[in-house]
Formats: sequence, structure tokens, C-alpha cells
Amino acid sequence: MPVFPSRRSSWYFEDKAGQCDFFRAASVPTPRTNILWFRQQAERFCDSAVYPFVLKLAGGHQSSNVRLVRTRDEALFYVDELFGHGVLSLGYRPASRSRVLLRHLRAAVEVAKGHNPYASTSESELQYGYFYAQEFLPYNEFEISAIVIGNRAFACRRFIVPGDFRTRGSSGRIDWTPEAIGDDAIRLAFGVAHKLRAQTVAVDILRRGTEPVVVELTVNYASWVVRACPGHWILEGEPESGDLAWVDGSVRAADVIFEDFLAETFQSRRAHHSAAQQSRHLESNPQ
Amino acid sequence: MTLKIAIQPDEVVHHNGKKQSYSARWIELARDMDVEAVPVDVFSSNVIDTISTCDAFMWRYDPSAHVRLHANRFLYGIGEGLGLPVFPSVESRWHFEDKIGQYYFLAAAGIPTPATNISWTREHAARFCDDATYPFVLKLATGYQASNVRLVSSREEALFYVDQLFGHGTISLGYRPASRTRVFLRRLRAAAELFKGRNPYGPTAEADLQHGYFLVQEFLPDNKFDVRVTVTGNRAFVFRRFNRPGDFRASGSGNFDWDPTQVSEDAVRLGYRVAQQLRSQTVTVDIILRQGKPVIVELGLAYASWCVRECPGHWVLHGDPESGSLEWLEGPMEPADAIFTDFVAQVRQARERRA
Repeated sequence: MPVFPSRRSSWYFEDKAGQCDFFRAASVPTPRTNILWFRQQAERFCDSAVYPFVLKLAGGHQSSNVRLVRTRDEALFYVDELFGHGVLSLGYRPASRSRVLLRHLRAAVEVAKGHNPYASTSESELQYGYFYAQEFLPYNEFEISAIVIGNRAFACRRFIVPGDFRTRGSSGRIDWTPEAIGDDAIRLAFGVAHKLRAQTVAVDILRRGTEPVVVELTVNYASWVVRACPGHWILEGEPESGDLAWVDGSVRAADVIFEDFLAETFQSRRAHHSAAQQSRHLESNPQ
Repeated sequence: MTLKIAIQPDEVVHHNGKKQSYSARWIELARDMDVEAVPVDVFSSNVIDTISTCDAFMWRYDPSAHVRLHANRFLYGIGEGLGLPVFPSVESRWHFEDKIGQYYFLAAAGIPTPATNISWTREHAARFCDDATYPFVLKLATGYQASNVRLVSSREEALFYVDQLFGHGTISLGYRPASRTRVFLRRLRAAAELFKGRNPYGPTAEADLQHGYFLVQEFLPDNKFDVRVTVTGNRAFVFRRFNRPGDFRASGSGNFDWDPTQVSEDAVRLGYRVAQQLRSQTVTVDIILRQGKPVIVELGLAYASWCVRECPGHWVLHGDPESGSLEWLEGPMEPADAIFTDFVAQVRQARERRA
């Protein structure tokens, strides 16, 4: 039976490594990305990497899961963490030897008391055994968040925090002016949703020069961001060449998701009934 | 027209010393089936470019965590991103090493299992332990080794595991309840590990960290063996796995019996029913008895080929699992052959549809 979110709408959720494989296979433009699966491979990468680069955890939606890594030493610190005890976030920064020892000592005391500071929690999963490095794209003052639901797209710009390269997700400065988004970004988001065959997906987009590139997908976006959009685009036809029409007015994400899902459920029930009818017909008329 | 199938090498040496490589056999078979086999390395940076020039991709991957997690996401990327048929397909692999997902699927599909209870919070698990019927079988959701399944005989023992699973997490149920001093000693050892920068409870290449659930299954004491039905397409291979001496677990005992007359037809049909409902290319179904009726304890995917090869023949189903006729075909068969034959047919069909 139909479910929301469907497998196609959710398999990539909180899995940037899976998203990266999908983007490559589906020829979706992204920043250059390297995922290293072994410590030695990661260390070699750090020797020849172009700095700074963006280090990400595969899971985790908070900005503490993304770091701008500026030097080889800093990179090797994270290699040690990710191929050592694992981490829940990239919160810890490289530090002096004595400070690192002190951190280890604090963790050891916690364990002696029966708590493991490096265990998964209900909030975050332990990240371990990979090193996910992405090209840093400077000069992006904002990222575009394009949310596709069926053939509708809602979009806003999320500005980076001053002095940082990251946005604050849906709690930072946001602008909903549709003219500032660019049709190319909207078409790119529709293209991704189309390839995923997702019921809904939020596509985060940066620019590499003038070209829009996808940095991340999510299914669990904040509904108020959609409701605050002054209108949305409707796509008629293919993402690359179809007509984009602007529809004025605010819409609730939950409403349109539900509307689409009901239509999907009715369609599935009709298909189910007609298959049952056909099989009954075959049984009574075996020729 | 020649098909091109990308294949990831998968050499394995089993504990009993038997060597296995599905990929080597597939490459051998390809020559006679008008298929060009393209060996690839899934950990290389240009692997997707190589696969994109092929018609399909195959990877018989291991249950060990690092490889399995990578394989899952990689196969999804290829299947959805390139739109190519893959082995194992998502229908064949989503349940692999996920006993909780398997339970939800079997319950929703109305397929009989031992009574199962899953607690998602410490409080719920502790309450469950207060009223539970002992002994019960505690399982980790992943993990193919016997150390991931325990027979829990008392409330104290149960609460020890609740503490582990809702505390630091665990990669196996290897540790048993112990005295206070011994538990403290374990913690001290763990603390020393952490001081050196290693996570004593962290995931390894073999096993991922299990945390935040308590999966319990009813203990069915009168089973001296389980029946394993391996379904590939419309073929079913069957054998019995006897429990280890003095133990209730059959997995890993190495004590097998391949006599097909000892396996009831309803077990074979149940295996087919699961495979059909999953729409899987291949699946193993482990079956025991509950009040004389077969129930399913686990599904699997990455099975050892030698166990299937030892079968003196296999069943072929014509029609529905419940009512179709079962034909016995004499003679052993390589599971790699059955998988490859079916997959090549599937890929040819997909290519014709595209054309």
C-alpha cells in the first residue's frame, strides 16, 4: 500500500554519502566530493587535498556536522576522530596534545561511570569509518532551498552567518523573493525530484560560478518556510524544457502533500481493484 | 546484442576453509551467455563512470557492517541514479541484517513468526522485563553471528541487557551479566581504551553499534533444528541446520542435513510465499515450528554458496506459492548460476523495454 514518505522519498534522508552516489549516477551537478572509506586513503587524500575544503558528516542536520578544514593537521585530526572512536558531531576542534589527552581522560571517566560519550543518542547516530570532503565554494552569500512537492516548487534563500560559510538552516536570515532565485535553480530541483521520483524533497543549492549545484537533499524540512513563500512554481512537462508557471499565494506544505497522497492512494486502490477484477474474470473464463 | 554487466569481486574464505566467489563464477558464465563481464572496484573514484557504460551491476556483498552499509547506499545510487537493474535489487536487500524491518514486514504480510516484542524506550523495555515470560530470546537487529542472539532466563539478566542497549550501546551480546566488581573492571578496561583514543563500544568494520531498542522473541523450546529454504526465482533449495550441542541456536552449528524428504512441503511453500511477497531475486528463509506450524525466525541474503550446492536437488514452483505444483529436479546446482541466469534474463528484458 502507498506510504508517506515513500521509499523513493526517504532512502537518502540523513545519508550524504548515499546522496553523493546518487548525484554522480544521475549526473546531477554538485561540488566536487571525495568520500574515503579507509584511514590510509583518507590520510593520502589529506596530503594532496586543496585547502580549505568542507568536511561533512554523512548524517546530521546541524551546522556542527559541517566544518571548513584549512590545514592538513586539522584534516588529520578529523581523520583520527572518524577512524578512531567515531563522533556524534564535529564539535571538537584540533587542540594541543595535552588538551586532547584531557578530552580522552574526561571521556574515560565517563565510561568508568557507565556512560559512553561516543555512543549514539536518540538525537544523533555515531559517525564512523568514512571521511566526506567537499570542495569549498566561496562567494556564496546564501544557499537556495527549493522544496518540491509533486509538480510544485517553493523556494527561499538562506543567508550565511556573518563570518561563517554556513547558514543557520531555518533559524537564520531567510529571504523569499522569488525573482532572486533563478529559473535554473528551480529546474535543477525539479530535475532531482523527478529522478528520485520523490513525493517531496528539499534541495539545497549553491552556485559554482554561475552554475547551480546541489549540496544536499532532505525530506524533513520546516513547514513554516514553505508557508512563508508568497507563491510557488508549477511545472508542466519536463524539468529541463517544461513550462514554469508562477502561482501567487501562500500554501501549507502539509495540505499539498496530503492532497497528492490521497490522489496516489485512490489511484493505487483503483489499480488494485481492476487487477482483482481481471483475475476473477480469468478464473471464470480460463480460455 | 552483447550485454555488459559490471561485477564487483567478492572472494570469501569461510570459517570451514571453503573458498567462495560468486563474481568469479559469474564472469565464467558470462562467456557462454553473450555477456561481457566488467570487473569494477566500488571503492575507486571513477566506478560510477565505468558502471554507467554497462547495462547492469552485480555485487554479492558480505554482511559485515562497513561493506554492507556502503553496498546499500551504493546500490541505491546506481539503481535510482542510473536506472540500471542491480543485484541485489532493493526488494532483495532492504531487509538484510535488519531483524526489526523483517518483523514489521512479516507481521504486515500476515506471515507467521514467533511472538515478538520491540521496545523503543528504556522505560518500556524495563516494564516489559517486569511482566515477561522467561526465558525469552533477545536479539540484536543486525548481526549474523550467534553472539547476537541470547536466551534470557531472568529479569536481572534482561535488565543488564536493557542497560547495555539503552546505555553505551553494543556491537554484540557477548558480555554476560556479572558481579558489581566485574562490571566495574570491564568499565575500567573500557575507560583505558578510550583514554588511548579508541571507542570500546564503537562500531567496527564487522559490526555496527546497536542502540536504543530491545528486540525480544518468544522462545520455542522443542526445535532441535531449523529449516533453511533458499529461494532463487522459482527454485527452492532446502536443508536442515541442527542446533549446537546444549544450545538453542542452529546458526553456525555446521551440523546440516540435506535430505529433502525431511523438509515438509508447507515449509517450502512458506519460503516461496515470503520470496514472492518480497519480490526478491533471492532470499533465505529460516523456519522453526510453533505448535506444529512453521514460523519464520529470520530472512537472509548473503548465504554461503556451498550449503546450497550440497543440496541433492531443488524444487521448482509452477504457479502460486499456496496452490502451485512443486516439481523436484534432481542434481546439485550452484546458487551463483541460478542468480546469474535469472539476472541476465531480467537485464535483457529491461533493455528490450527501454528499446
